[in-house]
Amino acid sequence: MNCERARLLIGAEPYATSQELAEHLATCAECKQFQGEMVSLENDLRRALEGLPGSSMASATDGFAGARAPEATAPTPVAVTAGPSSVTPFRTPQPTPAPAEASGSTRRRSLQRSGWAVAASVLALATLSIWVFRPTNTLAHEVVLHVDNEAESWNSSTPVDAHDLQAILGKSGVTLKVTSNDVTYARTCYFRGHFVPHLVMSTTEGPVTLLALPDEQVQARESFKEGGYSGVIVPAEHGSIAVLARDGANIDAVASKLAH
Amino acid sequence: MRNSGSDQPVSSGGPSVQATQESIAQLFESMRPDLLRFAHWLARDRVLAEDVVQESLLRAWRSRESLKESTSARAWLLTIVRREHARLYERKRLELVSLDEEIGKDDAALAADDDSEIQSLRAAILKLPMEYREPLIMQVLGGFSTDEIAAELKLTATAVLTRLFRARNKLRALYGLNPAPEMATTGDAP
Repeated sequence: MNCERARLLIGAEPYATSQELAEHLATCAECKQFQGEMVSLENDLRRALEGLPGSSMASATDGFAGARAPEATAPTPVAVTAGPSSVTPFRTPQPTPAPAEASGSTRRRSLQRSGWAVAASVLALATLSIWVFRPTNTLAHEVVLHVDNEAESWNSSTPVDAHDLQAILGKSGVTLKVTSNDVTYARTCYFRGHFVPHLVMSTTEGPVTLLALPDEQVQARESFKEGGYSGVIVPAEHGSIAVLARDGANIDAVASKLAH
Repeated sequence: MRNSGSDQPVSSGGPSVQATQESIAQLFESMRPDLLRFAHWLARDRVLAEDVVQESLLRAWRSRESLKESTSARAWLLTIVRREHARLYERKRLELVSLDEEIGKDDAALAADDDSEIQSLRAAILKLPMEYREPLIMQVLGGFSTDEIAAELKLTATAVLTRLFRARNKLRALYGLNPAPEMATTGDAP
């Protein structure tokens, strides 16, 4: 193996080892140094890639569990946390794999890792607190979180295509008394283990959000106010329907019309 | 290889998933943060990434019968996300993402718990061309092997190695390290 080939392999897979590569590294100080630098870069690369998506909890506590092992066991589903990223499961922090060879800044990185561990612990505690002290009406709370998480849904003013609307309702087996002219946003959303229609309807009093929840049973009409939203969940022929508005629109009228 | 050829990813054999629909849904949901992270690095836009993940979960749900073992779920879902992202680009011309703005967002969100070195690295990763960024993310975040990436991207293994090497080589400059010399043409390198 020549240096060019060795550096290609190291650059492509810094942690990879093969007998041929090991033999080359044993006799080539420059390639050995190159590997050390790439391993150090790799650790920072992993840290960098951990953090980007918006969930601060995920970025701080999710390690690379299984990232280097395609056959790794899938994460065990646990309680859903409250908060803007309500779908983010609480997970035990996973340590970043230790580098095979550390660079000169090992001590600084070690301190950074300690800082991360503290941050992860604080965030985990905060998440647990939110979960413990969540509102008792979890369904309403989760409806609010879901709608809040799709805030862009309120922005559209163009009626959705009738076929798209029917397809979305059809996917969930839901029949609603709505026409596409009234609906400015329609998506199938994953909510509490089911795919449900999420619509925004244009009314004379402003836009209202509607979530058809065929798998959620409520015994009676439930009103709620939370996070700047007012809402109501009403029993429907199959499951229930949640209706939310932001600016005090008459959601009762909408809910009654849809539920019957 | 966990996913190859057909539009619907498949998994290897093994004990059947005996879980109820509810537990499968929970399993999928538990992986949403990983999927979002993966999609975000591909799409470089959070809203777009959320759309991709949403569509991917829907697609995965429809094909859940093909998931034979829960231990394959992560790779299976990541593959669906990658394909959904690719489809998005095939289907329509996407609005251009302002990279500086996107990087700025991330800086603001992450400034509290990251050092500037990591933030610079993130910015550099986002600026990598897709042909280098995609295999790098698949490898580092997704845990895919070179052969798996090659099969998924319809490249040779050598081409994947070259792309991975070049991706990291470009990032070396950030660290004040001299980039390694480019490889001599390997024939099937990109």
